[in-house]
Amino acid sequence: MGDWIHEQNDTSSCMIGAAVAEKLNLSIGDTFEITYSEQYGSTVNTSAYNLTVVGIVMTDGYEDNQIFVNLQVAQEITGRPGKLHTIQVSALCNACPVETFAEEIQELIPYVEGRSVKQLAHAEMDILGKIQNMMFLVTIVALIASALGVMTTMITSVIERQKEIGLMKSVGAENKKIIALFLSEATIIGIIGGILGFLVGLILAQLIGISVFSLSVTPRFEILPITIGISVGVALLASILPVRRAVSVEPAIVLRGE
Amino acid sequence: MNEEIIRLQTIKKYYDESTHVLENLNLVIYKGAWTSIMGPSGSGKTTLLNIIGCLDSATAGSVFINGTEITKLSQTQLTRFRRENIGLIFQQYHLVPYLTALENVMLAQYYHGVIDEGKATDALKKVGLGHRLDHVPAHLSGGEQQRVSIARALINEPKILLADEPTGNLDQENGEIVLKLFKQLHEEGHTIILVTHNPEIAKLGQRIITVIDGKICSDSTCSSEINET
Repeated sequence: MGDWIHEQNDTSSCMIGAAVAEKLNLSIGDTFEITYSEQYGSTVNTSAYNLTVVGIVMTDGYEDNQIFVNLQVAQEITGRPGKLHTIQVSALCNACPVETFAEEIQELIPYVEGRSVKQLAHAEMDILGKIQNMMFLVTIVALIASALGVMTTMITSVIERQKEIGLMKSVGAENKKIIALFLSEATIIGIIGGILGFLVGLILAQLIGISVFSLSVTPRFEILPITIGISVGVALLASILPVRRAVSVEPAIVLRGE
Repeated sequence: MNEEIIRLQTIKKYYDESTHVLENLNLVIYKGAWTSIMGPSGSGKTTLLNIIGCLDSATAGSVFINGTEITKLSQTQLTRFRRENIGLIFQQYHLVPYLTALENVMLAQYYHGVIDEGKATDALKKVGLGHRLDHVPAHLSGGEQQRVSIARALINEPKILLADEPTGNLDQENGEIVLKLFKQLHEEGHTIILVTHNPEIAKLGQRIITVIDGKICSDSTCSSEINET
């Protein structure tokens, strides 16, 4: 619920776990004072800090009992500037070995505990997985719809240009020339469709990334040739029926003037 | 003049059991001759022209053109044969609307495999359209469009010219210009087969064949001159 802490140098905002929110009766927008005490021998050092709740975390894990602040704030409250105790790893991908990352961090940085934010990562991965499944289905439906669209367009074109095809044949065009003509047109449709599809996909991915994960998606331009290839393939497949129809046009219809 | 170029032997054309378009039709046409084909609508004259032009196939019988039995050729071979030997002129011109006059002529060259803009320009100049090379069909009169289609039919130097009512959509003035062109082509030695309803136009040919109900009812020879008007 609410929002993330977006700015790295934001020293007044915090996110609190759902259990914390319930226990302290806090909701988004509330400001509260956090007090930190530490005893050194007979001396007790106490510091207080005012924080505003910008988001409430609910993972059904131990994150529900935690308060999240920027690193700088945590270091200031605890009086340990520049120090780290725990690095929590959350990677937004399905097959990322987050636990291995955490272990490697623990090995590389002494006195630091590496830990994966399992619940949070799993929740995000679940969403990601569902979105991937949904996008896969949307892609299949879009491919079928575009194939039908190309087929309809091509069939209309063949019907409209029946006389032209008959004329081409009557002046000596072999079937392979007619096939080449329509497949070339389908290829051009496929290339344009692929480029437009890539751009629209990029915009949609950004919208989903920002609205669901508060992250922008890095464009992967190496996917563009694959997108164009699939689009051209679909356009060519969808052209089979219209091309067959074009090839079957009898040139005699031109002379008959039908 | 007596060298045989087309021979039709017992040609039959049935679209179905009840639609018999041509019945046991026999015809010999000689090289360099202008043959006019007449007959009422639905008599089978256009079907006859389509069969000679390799645009349609006979149900039975044999067709020989320039010594080749075209009834034994595959569709692809027929297309190639038509490209090499036949020039077609249609009543409705059938020009590609988005191509210029020059490009329409060059289209036939493209399918023939040799594109020569100079030759296409010369063909259009020959039919009096040297000043209309870059005009699309919509910007040409009916007579000019028909002359473009004649240039297109001639560009690959076919042995036989087939014309189906070439003046049918033209006014008298343009019709006469087109007929003068046919006369000129005939004098140059082209074999011409022209389908027409008009007896005056038919008389321009050396031979008039009348087709009724799929059969040749009369086959006469006549001679005439184009009226110089």
